[in-house]
Amino acid sequence: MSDLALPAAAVPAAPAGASYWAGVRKRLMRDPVSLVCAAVLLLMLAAILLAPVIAPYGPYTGSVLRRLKPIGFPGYVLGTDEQGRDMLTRLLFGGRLSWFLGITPVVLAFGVGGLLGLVAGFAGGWVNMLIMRTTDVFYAFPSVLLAVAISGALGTGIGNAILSLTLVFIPQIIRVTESVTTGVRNLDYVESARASGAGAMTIVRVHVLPNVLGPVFVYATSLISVSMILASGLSFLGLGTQPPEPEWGLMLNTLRAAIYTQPLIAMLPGLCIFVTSLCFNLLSDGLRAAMDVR
Amino acid sequence: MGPTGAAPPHPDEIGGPAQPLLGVRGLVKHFPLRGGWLGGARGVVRAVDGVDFTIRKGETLGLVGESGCGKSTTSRLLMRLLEPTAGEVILDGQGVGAGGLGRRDYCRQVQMVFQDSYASLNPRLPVEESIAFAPRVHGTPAREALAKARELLAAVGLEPAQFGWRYPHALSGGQRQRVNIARALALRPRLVILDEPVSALDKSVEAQVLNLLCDLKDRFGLTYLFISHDLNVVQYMADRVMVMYLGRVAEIGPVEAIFGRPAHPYTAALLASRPTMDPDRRRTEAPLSGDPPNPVDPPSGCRFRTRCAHAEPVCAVTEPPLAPLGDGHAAACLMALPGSGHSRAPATTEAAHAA
Repeated sequence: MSDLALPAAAVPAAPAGASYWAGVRKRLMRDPVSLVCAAVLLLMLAAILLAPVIAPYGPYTGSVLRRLKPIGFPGYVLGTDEQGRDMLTRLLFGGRLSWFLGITPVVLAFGVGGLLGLVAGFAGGWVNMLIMRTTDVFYAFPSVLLAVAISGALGTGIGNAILSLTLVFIPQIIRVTESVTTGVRNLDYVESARASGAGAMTIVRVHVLPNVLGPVFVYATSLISVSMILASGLSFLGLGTQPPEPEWGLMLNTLRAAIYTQPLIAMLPGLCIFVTSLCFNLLSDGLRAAMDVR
Repeated sequence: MGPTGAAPPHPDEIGGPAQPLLGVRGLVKHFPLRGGWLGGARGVVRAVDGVDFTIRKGETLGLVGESGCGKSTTSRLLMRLLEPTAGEVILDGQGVGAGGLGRRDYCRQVQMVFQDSYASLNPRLPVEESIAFAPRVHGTPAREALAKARELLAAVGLEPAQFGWRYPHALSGGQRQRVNIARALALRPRLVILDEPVSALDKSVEAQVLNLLCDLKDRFGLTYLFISHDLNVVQYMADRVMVMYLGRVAEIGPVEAIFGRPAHPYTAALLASRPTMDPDRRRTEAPLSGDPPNPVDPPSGCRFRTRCAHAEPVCAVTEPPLAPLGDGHAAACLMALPGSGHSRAPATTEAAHAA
């Protein structure tokens, strides 16, 4: 890419670009499924952020006398867990960590993978070869197995769980970004931008990035639910979060012994994971539809 | 149709009206054919294989040929979207490339309109932004570039207030192609390469766009390289015509000569392949059969001999040069070259004297 050497001309961001997003918002507003999912997620976000305020008990305070009380037990709306801790409190605090573990790896992978995919797709040639073949090595393993293997090798802890999940998602995001970028790069409007004498950086900023970002963003949104489930899985396996820290996956693990005595209580963390990831998935679907310009 | 007096001389004008605007010498583009998982080259596709021609100031040069003959590669080489394997391009007396005219200066003077009107506009930019992009790259302030874009929209027959802020998907094919033309004119170029600009449009819109192109040419003092596979359109638009076959020039000359007295059998076959309007003159057999040979391994000698009705053994041996026929008309056929050894070749002057 000899073009990279050319100085990028100062092109201010298109002021009218905002009207595209206005259109996306309008279409999203007309989609009832997306609206409901967004509402559920916002409600959940507010609840977990306000957990210290609205939770009736402390997340670690329990009583052996009140172990595994059923849903609706006086004073405990959602019952208690195997150590007599209030389930509602645990779920509220657990959501904080579950959401954090669901979103952080995706954001990190979006940044790193998006950049690498963009470079691979736009530069082509041996740069593409190098990045994509390295990606293939990671891609060869099933993502659950890879997450468990990396996390297991790095050791337990939240930081290592995030790192391993990020490493799992980077190749996937590189793949998607590269294929979208390659498709855009060969379109005539990029050629005509090159024909105008513009430098590579200007072309990427004005013509490539806005057309690549949308689809990759939608894909990344759909990964949040996967990340949440994988993070829960890692916690369930004893990697990642450690007791007595509240986290949905870990709660599912510790409550599994109670599945015969209090099945409803044991299912609650799973239900939270299910609802959250379902909402993220449906919302990303709605976003994809809303961002489609015919 | 020479340059009309309507437009003032272009600020980049150097060599005067007699100097060709664009000279192309020995232009070659070979694409390496990669095979195997290590990506070793298996050979080369000779997309453009030694092409010479000139484009005069103010003329329209038509470029015709079958798909795969190198028309589009030639246009992309001239636009410098591809690096030529060999050969040189001279713009108004100035060499282009290393040591000569820089990429940005060249792009300012040569612009291109692509065939696919939708793919050549950024779907995320309002059309006036797309038009303003090139002037901004060349340093025009944003506000000024946008004003220029609106002026050009008006020049191509689109009301700026009504269309400027729209996105490409909200325009029809003809409107989009008008936007593309405006975009190509935004840098005030001298040469505009029109790569099949009307092929994707329906007939009524096609005529409007062709008329618009003629008007703009007079108004802005433009020179066109008009690429098309539609011979009728080329006959209408062009002053001179170049016929390409398998990466080489088969015939070049004034439009009347090419359409009236084609000297190359390939040109004659192309002309014969046009559907006639008269049902009594309907032809029953195809004028040309089969596909062009593989450009990886072109035939020896004359490249057209495998499909030519007049092919003789000499055609497989001698590669025909462009033989001048007077009046700027030239054909790369041994039948046009005196003393070539072909039985239909014109007699050389000595031979005529001896007889």
